[in-house]
Order: sequence, then C-alpha cells, then structure tokens
Amino acid sequence: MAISVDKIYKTVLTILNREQRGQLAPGQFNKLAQQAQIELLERAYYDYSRSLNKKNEVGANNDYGNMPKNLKEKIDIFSKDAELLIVGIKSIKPSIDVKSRTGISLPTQVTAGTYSNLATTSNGSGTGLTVTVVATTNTFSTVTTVARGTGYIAGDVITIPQASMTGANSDCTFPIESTDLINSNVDFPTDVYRIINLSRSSRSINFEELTKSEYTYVNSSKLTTPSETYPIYYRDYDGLKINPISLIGENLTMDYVKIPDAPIWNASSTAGPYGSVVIDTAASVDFELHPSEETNLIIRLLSYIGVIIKDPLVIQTVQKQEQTNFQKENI
Amino acid sequence: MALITNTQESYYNQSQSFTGNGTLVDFTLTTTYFPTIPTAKNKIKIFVSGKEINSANYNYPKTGSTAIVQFISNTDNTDVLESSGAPKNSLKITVSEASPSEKYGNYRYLSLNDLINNYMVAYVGDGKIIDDVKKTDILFHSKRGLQEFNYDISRIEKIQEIELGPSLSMPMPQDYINYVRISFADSAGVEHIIYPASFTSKPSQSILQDSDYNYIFDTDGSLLTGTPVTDDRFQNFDITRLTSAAKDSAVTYDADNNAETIITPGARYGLNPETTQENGVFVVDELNGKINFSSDLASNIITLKYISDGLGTDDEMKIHKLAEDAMYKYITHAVASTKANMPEYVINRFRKEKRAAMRNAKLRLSNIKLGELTQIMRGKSKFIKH
Repeated sequence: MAISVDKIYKTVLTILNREQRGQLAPGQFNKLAQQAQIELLERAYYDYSRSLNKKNEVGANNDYGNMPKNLKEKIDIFSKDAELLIVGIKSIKPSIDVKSRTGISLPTQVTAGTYSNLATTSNGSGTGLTVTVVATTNTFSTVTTVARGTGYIAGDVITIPQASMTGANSDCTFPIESTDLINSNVDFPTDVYRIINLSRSSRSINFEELTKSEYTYVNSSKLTTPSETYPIYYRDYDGLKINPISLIGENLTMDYVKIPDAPIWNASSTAGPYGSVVIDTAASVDFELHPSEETNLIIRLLSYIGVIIKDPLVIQTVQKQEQTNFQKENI
Repeated sequence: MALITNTQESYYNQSQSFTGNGTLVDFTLTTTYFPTIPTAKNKIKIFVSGKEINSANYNYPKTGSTAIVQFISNTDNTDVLESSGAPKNSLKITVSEASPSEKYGNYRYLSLNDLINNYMVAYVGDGKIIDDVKKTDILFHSKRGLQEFNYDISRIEKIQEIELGPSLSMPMPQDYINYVRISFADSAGVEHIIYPASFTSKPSQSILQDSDYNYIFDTDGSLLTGTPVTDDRFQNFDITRLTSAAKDSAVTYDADNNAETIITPGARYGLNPETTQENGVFVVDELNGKINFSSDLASNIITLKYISDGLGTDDEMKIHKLAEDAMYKYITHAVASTKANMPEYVINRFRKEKRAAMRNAKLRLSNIKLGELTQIMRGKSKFIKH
C-alpha cells in the first residue's frame, strides 16, 4: 500500500526536465517529500470531515461512491496500536543508563550476581523505585528499573543500600536526570501523530477523553467520578494524565495514527545503465500514503519545487490543478 | 453470541466438576464455573465421589484470578484418594463454594455497564440519532435514569427488620430514600401495617424559654435548645385515647345479657377512621434521619419496606430487562434535550417515545397476572366465575 519513492522522484524529475526547468537533487527531494506526505495526511482529516458533513446533509452513497469510507482508508493505513504501562506521574523510565552517568557513586567491591528488585531511597519526594543490579566480581554491569515509582524530580539522588548487594563496600548512589522522567501517566510512543482511542482490559473498557476544565467537574460529581470501569484521561504539556490512579501498574491499549516514516531516495553506489544514477532500494524508504494520493503527492511536491527553482509558472499551474481537484471532489 | 455463558452446574450449585485419573493432583478453577473465584481455602468444599475431603489433604493457592486445587495427601480419605493425594481414577471431583456468593436470577437484569455499552453501540455515532456524546454524559444520564426508575418503576423494595427498643426509634437505612410500608410482625409472622401519625410531629428545635416565656440565648447569641416536649408527651401518650380502643378495665361482664359490655359508652362515638386501629403509629424525623414509633410498639418486630435509588452499591446498579428499552429512550431524551442545536420537534419525539416506553415498563413491572387478579377479584365479587 505504499507509493514508490523512486517512481515519484522520477516522475517529478521528468516533469521538471520536460519543461527544462532545472534539476532536483535527492537531498532536496527528501526534505520536501516528508513535508508533502504529512500535508496530505493532514488534508485527509479535513476531507474526511467535509465528506461526513456532506453525507449528513445530502445522504450517503454506497460501495465505490462512499467517500467517507474511501477517505477514512487514507488515514487508516497509518493507524497503529501499542500496549503501554500506566505509571505514576514523574516516574522513572524503564531502561535508564545509570552506570555511565555523571555523579554516580558505585561500590568498588561487590560479589558477582543478580540482585533483583532492590528497594531504593531518595533524598527527594519520589518513592517506589526498585532496581535490579547485575554485577560481575567488583564491577557493576547494569542497573535497570523494575518498579518505576512516582514523584521524582531531576536532581534527586537515589540510593541503593549497601546491605542489599552481597559484598558491597558502600551504598550505590546516582542522580536522577530530567531525561529519566516520565512526566505523565504514560510513556508515549515516539511516532504518535494523533491519538484515536485509549482502552484497557482487552479493549473492553474505553478511556474517555476530557478537557482539563471538564475533568474538575466530572471528578467532583459522584455520578460521574472516574472509576476503573469508567476511566478518563486528559492531555497537557506533559502528556496524558489518567484517572483513577488505581490503574497505575496496569496496561492500556493506545490506538493512534502514527507519523509517517520519512521517505528517502538514496542513490546506489553502483551505476545503472549508461552510467545513470539508480536507487538503492535497501537504503531508501517509500511513501506510506494511500496509492490514491500519488497524483496529489506529485502536485504537492511540484508546488514546493516551484518555490525552490523560483518558477512562478510551476506554482500557478499546480495551484490551478489543485483547485480543479478540489472542485471535482465537492461536486 | 448467546447471553448465558456459564454452565448450569455453575449457576445452580456454584461448583466445578472434574474427573480424576489417579495421578492428576492439580485442578484449576475457572470463571466459567465461578463468576467470582473463591478467595481462600475456607471458602470452598471439595467432594470426591460424593465424599467430602479432609481440608488437610489439599492446598488452594490463588494468584490473581487463577486458583488451583492441589491435592497433597489422603488422610481419612484413602477410599477416594491415592497416597499422592490424587483422586482415584474415574471418580468425580466437585469443588463448590462453602456458602454460595452469587445471587440467583441475575439474568433478569442488565448491568449498568452493559446498558451504557449497548447504548453507545446502537445510538451513538456518525449517522445515528446522537452523532457524538461523551460516555461520561451517558454515565450521568443512565445513573439519573436508574434513580428515576427506582422511584417510579422498579419493583425492588428493600426490607429491614428490627426489634424496636425502648427509644422507640429506628434510624433510616443507609440507602433510604423513602418508605413504602412500615409494619410490625405478630407472633404468626403476619405483618400489620403501621400508619403515619398526621396528628403529631417531631420538632427539630425545642427553644428554651425563661419564666416570662422569653427566648434564652447563649453568650455567642445563639438560641438555647432542649429536648422537644412534644416528642416526650407523644412517647408517653396512651394510644388507646386516640384509637378509642376499649381498655380491659372498661369491659365488664353483663350477666343480664350474658355478654361482655363496655361500661364507658360514648367513648367510641364519632370514630375517626385514620386513628381507629391498634397497629400503632410512626413519625418520620426527617432532620435527624430517624423513624419514631408510638409507645405501644415497644419490643415489637418492625419491618421497614423502603426504596433506594439503585446507586448505593455496584451490585445494585442494574436495570430490569423489562425496562431496558425504556432506559434507552430515557437516555436518548436526556441527551437530546441537553444538546445544543437539537430541533425541538426531535426532542418532542424522544419525549413521547420515552413516556410511552416508561409507561409500558411500569405496566410490565407491576406484575399484573391475570390468574392472580381473577383470584383476588373472586373474593370480592361473585360475578367472576371460571
């Protein structure tokens, strides 16, 4: 369901060269390609919304004429889900690199072994962090997070007591850095573009999304207080805040629209026929857009390229084409 | 998918059966048989081939929702258990709850969660009656609906029974909304209705006065109050003066007429039907949440039938299936009437649908059975024959 990056690049080049308007280097193309891809994905939302409104006003067509369904397909191909652990706010990320950080103090002696689920103490207000330490004789191999705790802030110093590690000649202490912290209840996947839905308990219970102002009222009414059966979340700068907090430690399923992978056209080190430059398919990434977006993608890319090559004629032609397409869609 | 997912054995016996093979010692309990898995060893009983097994012969480790019966020995049960503890080959093992925790007849009801999920599926979405609504709103309206249905339609009456103490007072139940009937049970267990006393009340404040009848105030300017005299007087009141019941002392034997006769004629003249009964009376103290009774009811067994709002506990949050459709209609109307830009004619349509469905539900839940009605009417009229 992808659009070949090579095909698009070559088509764009063909159009440009036919008009003798100049060349487009792969580096330039790669920069514009992702921008065009995201723009078309975002436009699909608006088109979908418009088609729904139109359907409500004038009725729906079935089968091939079902535009909302067709447009939804364009977005669906980017939808993903992820199982995420609900954690306490300001908890510690699961795999933090403690051993090599500045400020860590390790015992110089320790008996080899794996010391699982060690309780730690903090000089701040954070609590509940437990770690597993793997050591060879007198050397620490890894320190990994087991229970992530809650309430930590950057600068807190964590202490793993000497007594919990056999043969240790001192405590192990290390500072918390801001990059260690999860400031919300969920450690977001890095490729989230838009959240579709959160659910738990094998997708049998949905989380309700509220605005921050609604949250206060919902929380204060006994009829609507969030519960494990009717959990809610709201979004803020830090990410997602979930209620009730009794869900900490459980998993949720996040359905989301992902950010499209950036398309890349990479040249192969081996020349093609007659010394031509050919694509290195292994090192290149195709567009993830729906195949029906191919024409729109070329038009969008050309409009950007028109700016780069400073040719108003290209921009005008493309704009005219876009306008024609828009009118067709709204008949 | 069919609505019944557990087995009949699970429903009627709340037990799970296995068959031994002479070597197997571990048997896992499942939620198919136990909607609520027993929490501890003392909550279960095990029978092998109908014989109860000594509890020392098995363990019951439970982790989360997984519980396993582990046979470990055969002390006192050598006839049905091998030396390893494994039930002998082909014998039936039955694990049952020591005291069944599930109530029967739950099929009649739909849980609030199911109701809301059904509603969201069928009524909310693009191209449906309600295009978009927050589940929190549906939760609110369905809970409010549950309250209204409990007041007007539902047949669930809760009953509390107490022996009335010398205080002649009974606290309102924790989930009390209003009483349906208050009665006392006689020695045969037959209930006699107790009527509310409209001729007295329970003052919430008895203001203290000085000898000149002026109000007495505290140093901070607030009124001083005491125990209401009305209440004391009513408790000490001889109820027969009100009911006009003849006292024993007023009844004598009239030898001339060979019958008992009342020697205070005229006392029962002009009877007030409201008070002419000997069942006693009660006064509801709304402010303090108590129900007070007349002194003749002391030491009697009082039964209080009352209604709640159905939201007291999670178990109560359910709707009778005969009222399910009415609840959907109720929610639809509630959502539509609180939604902006909803045409008035649409709201009116929903209101009519709601009223019709609620009336229908009330009729269904009134439990009017033709046979029962006929039987009752036979006692009142000779015209109804077979």
